[in-house]
Amino acid sequence: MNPTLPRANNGNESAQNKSVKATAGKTEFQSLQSIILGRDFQQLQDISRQLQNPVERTHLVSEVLSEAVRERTQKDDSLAASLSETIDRSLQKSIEKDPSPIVDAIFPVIGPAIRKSIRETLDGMLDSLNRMLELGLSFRAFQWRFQAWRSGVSYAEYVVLKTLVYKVEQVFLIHTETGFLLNHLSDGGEDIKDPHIVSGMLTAINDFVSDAFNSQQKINTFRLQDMEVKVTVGPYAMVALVVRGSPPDTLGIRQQEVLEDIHRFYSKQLKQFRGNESAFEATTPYLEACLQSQYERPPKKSRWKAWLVILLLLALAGYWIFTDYRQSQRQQQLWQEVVSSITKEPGLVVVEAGFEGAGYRVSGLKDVYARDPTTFLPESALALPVQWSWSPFVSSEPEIAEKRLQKVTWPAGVSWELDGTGVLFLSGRVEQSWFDAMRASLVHIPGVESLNSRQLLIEQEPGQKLRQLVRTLRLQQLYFPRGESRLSEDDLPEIITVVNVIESLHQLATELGRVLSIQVRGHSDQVGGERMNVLLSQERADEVLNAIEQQSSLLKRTGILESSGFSYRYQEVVESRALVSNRRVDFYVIDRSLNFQE
Amino acid sequence: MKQRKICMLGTSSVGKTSLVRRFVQSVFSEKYHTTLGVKVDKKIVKSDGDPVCLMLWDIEGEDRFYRIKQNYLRGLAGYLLVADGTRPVSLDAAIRLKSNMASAFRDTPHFLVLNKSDLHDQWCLQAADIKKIASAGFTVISTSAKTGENVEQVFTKLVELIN
Ligand SMILES: Nc1nc2c(ncn2[C@@H]2O[C@H](COP(=O)(O)OP(=O)(O)OP(=O)(O)O)[C@@H](O)[C@H]2O)c(=O)[nH]1
Ligand SMILES: [Mg+2]
Repeated sequence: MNPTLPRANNGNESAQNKSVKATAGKTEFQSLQSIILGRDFQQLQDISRQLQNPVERTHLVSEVLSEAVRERTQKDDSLAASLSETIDRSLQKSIEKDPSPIVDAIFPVIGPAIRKSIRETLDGMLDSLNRMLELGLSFRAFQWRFQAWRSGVSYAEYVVLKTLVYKVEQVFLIHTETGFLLNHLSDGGEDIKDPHIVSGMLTAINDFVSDAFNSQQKINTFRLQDMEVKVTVGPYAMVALVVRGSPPDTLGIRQQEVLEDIHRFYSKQLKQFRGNESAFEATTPYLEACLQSQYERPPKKSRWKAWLVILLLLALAGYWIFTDYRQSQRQQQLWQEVVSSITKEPGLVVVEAGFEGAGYRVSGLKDVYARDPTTFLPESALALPVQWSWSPFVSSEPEIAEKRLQKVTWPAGVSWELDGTGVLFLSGRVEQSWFDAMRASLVHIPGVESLNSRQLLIEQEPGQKLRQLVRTLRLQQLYFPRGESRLSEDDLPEIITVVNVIESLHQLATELGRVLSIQVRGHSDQVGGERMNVLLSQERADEVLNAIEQQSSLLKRTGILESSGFSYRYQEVVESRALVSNRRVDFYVIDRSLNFQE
Repeated sequence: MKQRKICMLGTSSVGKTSLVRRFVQSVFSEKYHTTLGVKVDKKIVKSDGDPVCLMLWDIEGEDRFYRIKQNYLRGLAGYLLVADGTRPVSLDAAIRLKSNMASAFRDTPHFLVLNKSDLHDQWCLQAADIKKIASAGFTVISTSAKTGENVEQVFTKLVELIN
């Protein structure tokens, strides 16, 4: 608000002028105020400005915040109560966002606590195992059983009596001022009178002592027969232990620690205690730490038996694992050997070998001539059965090919050998027909790539030979230039070949008792008249016949040769060769004895 | 459960132990064993329907200077000053005891208990004694541990005052 003094206003005044006037007016008003209120006015203004300005307000509060908190906390708990929800929520938020800072913060507390708890659990387990072993197995155990029976107590009681070093049977948490019982734990032991009364009495006794001897010193321990009461007194509470047997010093230390912990964590409840102990039920876990006991010798000395048993068990387990491992190693090795020898074996192809279900399994290909795979199993049998699955196949390996060749019935006097590259070497004497059949069947023997018959003497049958010679002769032909019927010098080698063949034929035929005649047949082309051509053909045949007879006196003498000229018409029917080839002489063999013509 | 500490005060053989035994165990014995130090006992009573655990501290009475060991009184919620009607000196003792108590206990609930009311014919209290009692501002209740007269009531009343 800008307070302005009422003034006569000219309607034409500019906006700027107005604001100047207004400022001037304010200053006047202010000076009036400051005259009336003096210095207080300035302060008042300062204060109101500070209150209205959020920045200044924050600054003001921040200056006294920690003092205010301290003061309020001393007065009552309302601050904690009103903050607790905020703190809870911000903690929750912080954990949701990133739990690691909180984890880091509480780790130093939680880590040791967990370790301690584990260690104690382990210790306890070891102890009880050890005790069980010692008492359960030893000679002394039998002795004690007997003595317990004789003295009429239960064995368990007797053992406790005999072995107990100490045992904390009762733990009291007592309010120091009033002697009220705050919490109480007991672990078996004798039924103690009302713990409330005991706690009161303990307090009273302490009060009595400190009063009687006019000192602040409190009683620590008092004994009655085999019972001991250990008391540690703190400013607000005390912890009393009722112990059977003689406890070690460490128990006192533990007791002191527990008392300190309770003072630390329950100081508020202790200070505000007005006779209601329910707030202290939560101290039970602390007090439980005092419920200790020990039997027989100190644990370190006596634990060796437990350790021994554990070590023995470990050693046994280790040995078992080791032998089992070795056994399986051995089995594995055996198996590998079996597989590899099968793989190497000719005629067997391992496609897959491995472990399946409760045994080994091999699948692959097997030639009929291959060795039985089961013969590869070792004498020291495999621990597990083997399941085979073979598909038939034909192996071309030399070893298998050799086995196949062995199955062939070889004629006497023939020996064979197969080399590594699949060449079959034959030697000896065989008949042609057998050899031909052999050649044909070799195609069906895989692994036999080729045949070497250089060492083989193939004996031909006479009939066969005869036919061979006939065929050879049929292939012999002599050619003439057009119109010519004279042989030239160049034809002489041919003539000699023909002579040789015919001589052989004649000889063989005579041996076989056959009567052959050889027809020397002359041919001509179509050029010219037929009569002329037939004459020319005859001339050509005669020319060749004469040439043969000139060469061979034998043939001339026997007279098995006869000549004849053919017309080209005849040739047309028989052959469809080029004309040039028709100017020729060829040979026909006629078997007179059988009327055989070829 | 609430716990409350109550002290039995008074000079020797006025019947403090007897009153507690009557109250707690409902028994009485003519035999006299003087109490050494403190004997603590407990009784659970109902107050306004809630159970209250009364811890009864029976404190020895033999002290020539009528001093009370202040340690025994710590945290007490109420007390009974016991006197024996047959022995006026025990009344003096009770009055002396109260005046010797620390100022903190001035307003603590308490009664003056005149015990052995069954021996009323042997009581020998003078008018002066009654005056003394009145001027000391006591609430007086006469009881008998032997017959049980008013025993239950005196404790119940005290608990009512306390709560
Ligand atoms: N007739 C009668 N005798 C009582 C009564 N109360 C106590 N007595 C007897 O008085 C004697 C003392 O009683 P206690 O209760 O032991 O006295 P006290 O006050 O505890 O004494 P200290 O322990 O020495 O301080 C006992 O022999 C009781 O039998 C009562 O009400 N009537
Ligand atoms: Mg007594």
